[in-house]
Amino acid sequence: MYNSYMKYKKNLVPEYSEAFGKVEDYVNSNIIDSLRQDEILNDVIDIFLSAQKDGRTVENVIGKDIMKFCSDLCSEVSIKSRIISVLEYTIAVLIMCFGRCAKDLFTVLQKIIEGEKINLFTYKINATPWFFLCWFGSYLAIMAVGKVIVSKFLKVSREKYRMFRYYAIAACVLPWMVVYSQFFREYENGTCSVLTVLIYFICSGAASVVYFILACEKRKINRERLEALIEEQCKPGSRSYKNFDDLEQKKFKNINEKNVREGKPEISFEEFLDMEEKNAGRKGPAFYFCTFVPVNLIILGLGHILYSLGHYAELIVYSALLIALEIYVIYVSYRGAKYTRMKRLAWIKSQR
Amino acid sequence: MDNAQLLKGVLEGCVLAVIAKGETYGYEIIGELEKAGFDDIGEGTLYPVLTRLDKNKLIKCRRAKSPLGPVRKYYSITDEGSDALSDFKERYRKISRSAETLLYDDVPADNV
Repeated sequence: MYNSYMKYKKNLVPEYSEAFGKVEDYVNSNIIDSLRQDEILNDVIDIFLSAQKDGRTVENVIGKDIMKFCSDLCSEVSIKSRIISVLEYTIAVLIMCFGRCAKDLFTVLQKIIEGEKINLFTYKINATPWFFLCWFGSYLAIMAVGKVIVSKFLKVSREKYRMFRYYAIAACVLPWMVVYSQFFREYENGTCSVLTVLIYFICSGAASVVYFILACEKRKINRERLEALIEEQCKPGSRSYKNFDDLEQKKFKNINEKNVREGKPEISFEEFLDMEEKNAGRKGPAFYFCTFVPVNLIILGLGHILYSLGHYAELIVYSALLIALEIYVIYVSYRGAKYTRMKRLAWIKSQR
Repeated sequence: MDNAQLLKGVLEGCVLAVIAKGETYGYEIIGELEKAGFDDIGEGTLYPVLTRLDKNKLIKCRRAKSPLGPVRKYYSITDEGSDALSDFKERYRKISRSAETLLYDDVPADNV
């Protein structure tokens, strides 16, 4: 994030700092998606800093009851926000489940590649859907209970709260591990692979949808923050402004000198800016070299090892994942760079 | 009788009126409300009101870096907001007139 509130916590005087700590703990343990949490805390710290500057007391700003203040802050939260908050955890859990499931799915894929005839409806693999769902469900239950306990205990001092939080987590994890070790020892009588794969893909689909929604909303907010940041950087007198303007002027001069040398007509500054906008996303060859080469070397190296070990299934899956990741990273950085440049060029145009 | 309930009905309209005067932010709105005489409106009461107004598209917000550092939301009124505000002003005037004639016996009934 461009401007997280955490940087400004140290600007608070002790009185406000303690109050803010409590608010932060409450909001973070409430069931709201992380984006809203960040927004709320940004708002609160802005108000605290303004009130501090004006010399108001904490009680003046918050009122007598800090718990009421906190619960009011978090009162207008939509169901969508709460669902997203719950599902944000599931992404992490699903990634862990992928690891558990992957081993069995690779065995199946490997056998298919080696030519063994497998009927996916009757072949049994180890990870049963029940194991999957119970593990998953219990994890969610623990997180939810933990959050509720934590937010109820905000009335105690912050140190006690911090200590308690770790005890609470330990207290939840311990019984869960006992249950896990007792109930899921005997799962050799697996169930049909198709059902397991289906459940896994449904959950992955849900996680992808959540990720997509979160990414869209974050992008919208980040755009606005980015605009604010660029506007500040482009203020005359700021260092970035001078650098950016100088850079563009130099480029313009170089292009025209080249044109004159080659006997072509000189271009105007407007035409130059239009040209720059068209090429906005392109990065130099150095960038592509530094991203493509190491990643592809890793893929080749890993591929060679897996191939020589005979793990063809894993080879296929990991290579596909790494290549997809590579494409994703390049696309995102292209889009980000293009957006920044377009904004800056638009700003220069508007100044003329 | 609950003071909070009385306040709740009126607060949204008042906040909208403050925003209608010009683009503003949270702390400034609290200041304006205090100047008008609302004593204990804190961020806790204000934040849900602003969220509701934003959700109903009566105000729009723009994020910018505040001079103190963190990202600040600046609110301005939309067209639907202006309509809703004039609506609210009408309704409030009617209600308060009727209430005054009942609560304060010495005020003559005013036929609106």
